[in-house]
Amino acid sequence: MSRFALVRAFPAAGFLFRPKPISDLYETLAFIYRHRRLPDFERTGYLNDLMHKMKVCQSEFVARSFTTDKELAKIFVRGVTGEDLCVPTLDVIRDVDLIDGYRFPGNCVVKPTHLSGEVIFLRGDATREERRRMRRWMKLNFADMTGEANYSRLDPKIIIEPWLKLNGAFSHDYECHVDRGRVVAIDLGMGENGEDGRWASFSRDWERLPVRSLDAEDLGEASVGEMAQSGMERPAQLSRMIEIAETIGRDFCHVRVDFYTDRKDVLYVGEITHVDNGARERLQPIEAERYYIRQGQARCRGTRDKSAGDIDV
Amino acid sequence: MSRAGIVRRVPLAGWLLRSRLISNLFETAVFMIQHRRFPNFDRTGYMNDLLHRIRVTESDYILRAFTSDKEFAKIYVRGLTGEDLSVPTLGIIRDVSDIDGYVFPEECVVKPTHMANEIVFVKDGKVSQADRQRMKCWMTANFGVLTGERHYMRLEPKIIIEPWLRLNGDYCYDYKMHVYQGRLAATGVSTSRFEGGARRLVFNRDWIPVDLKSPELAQLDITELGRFGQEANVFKPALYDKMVAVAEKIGKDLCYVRVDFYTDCKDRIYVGEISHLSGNARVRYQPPAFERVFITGEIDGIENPQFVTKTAGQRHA
Repeated sequence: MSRFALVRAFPAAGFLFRPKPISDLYETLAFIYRHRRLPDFERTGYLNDLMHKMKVCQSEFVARSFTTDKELAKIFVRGVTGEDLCVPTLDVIRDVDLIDGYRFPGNCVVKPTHLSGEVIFLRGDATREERRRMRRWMKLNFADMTGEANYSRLDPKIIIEPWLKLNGAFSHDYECHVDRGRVVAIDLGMGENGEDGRWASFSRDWERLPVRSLDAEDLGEASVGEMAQSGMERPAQLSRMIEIAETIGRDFCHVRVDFYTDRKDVLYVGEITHVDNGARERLQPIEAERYYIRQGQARCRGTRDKSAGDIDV
Repeated sequence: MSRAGIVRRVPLAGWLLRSRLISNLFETAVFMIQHRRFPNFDRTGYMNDLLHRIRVTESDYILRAFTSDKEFAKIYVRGLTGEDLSVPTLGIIRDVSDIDGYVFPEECVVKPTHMANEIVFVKDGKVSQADRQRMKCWMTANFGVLTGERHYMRLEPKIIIEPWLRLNGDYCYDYKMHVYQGRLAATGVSTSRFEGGARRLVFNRDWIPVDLKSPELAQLDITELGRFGQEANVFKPALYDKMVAVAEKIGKDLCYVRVDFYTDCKDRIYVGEISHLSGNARVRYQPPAFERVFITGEIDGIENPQFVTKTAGQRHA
């Protein structure tokens, strides 16, 4: 049983993994098992090695923790860009006791602000099972489950947002990877909530990158016409998306900024992610992980947020 | 010797005091020596007891940590209010090796973003070697370890450079707004802070002066108000209502916070900084019951124990 599954089933077991040496040792062994190599970002320049380094070295950096919380991240985005770019917040539930009697608006999305990968789409009011799941969210500490310390000090809250249907019934996820202040690659997730679905990766000029994820269904090679048909055409607001992502990313060595867009004139910042897929996503070919890192760039400025050190590749 | 003095002389003590348990025991002992009472906010309703509780129970709450950093606090204020209310930033030094060669603007104020009560005023662009050395010391200091204020513990050391505002003569008055449970309780006005010791007046929410004394702060006697123009209102900013609204907006997610403003008392206001442990919970007031004014904002009946408003229900209380 994995750490994630164990702590999810028994939240009290999270205390076992809370000491940093134990957490880091577990995560390093899990990395080796998953990727069949020792993590060494300075030598490889691979994305997952950087993610692992961030996880064990500095995911407690205060700005990372702040922007990990989905409610506080909206304040950060408005603070650095000066614009209301985030999905509007309909409400925030801060007390577990309020969940049972809460009347959810129709067509909304319910997410915990302190966890990742959890979402409930509601067409009407929530069922008893869905409320039970929400109550369970309030007990979980995502840092205990994953070793991502940027989640460790977050208050458990539930945020309610409108259900955006920008690309059919759901919205695609445009995930901009910003490395040392520059967008280097954009992943497009096309499943429900952009997760567990079809996936493709593009350069900042919207050219398909020859990279495939072993953990998502690949969209395959497609011509420009086919891309337009399948919803993969270049979004009209790509340059603005890149500009916003780079503004948000200037305080971090590496960060992923997610957007939703109708590919025309509507654009929202979704969330800010620091340890992409928990450093678990396997890409093929493996060298393609370097597409997500600015090669040959100098070390990050600053003293603590410097995990993206010099790369010797 | 203070905690900071001990840690500066014996760095090993800093490691010992990093432990939450040891740090809290130390701070509780210091509180009892300083205030001659056991900290118990639920019973007393005193501000220092509340600050002590915040220090030992929740001062590493991420919102407090983020807003303690002077660079990030500006992002927070802009994100929350949608307005540029903070003092503009002229530059940030992130690397200690940049300090020696840094060319400072003609007139500016230099502060560490990760510490409190440290400041260098630069006149004519001249910064002495001693001041540059002081800045280098800032970059190696962990204010959380020095003071037990854990929200400073994880901040990245940086130095921020801001314009020297001369809104009230050579130095600005500090308007320190104490917000409890999202409501402004009292405002301390510090004058002459950099001209030989702070002199302070305290006003309640309705801008009525409160006659309280502190051995730590030179008090501007209420009877001295005449020197400034007969009335307390001489200190009342024209944009007081806006300052209250901004302070209460910043304080809405926190049990207690102090929001500092600079103003020319006419049409300009700036948010200076956000403080979570005002005076490090060390400032004594006489009589102590008057500490309640920073919680309730009321003066009448302040010495009556039933006057105490207890914290309840809020997570960060």
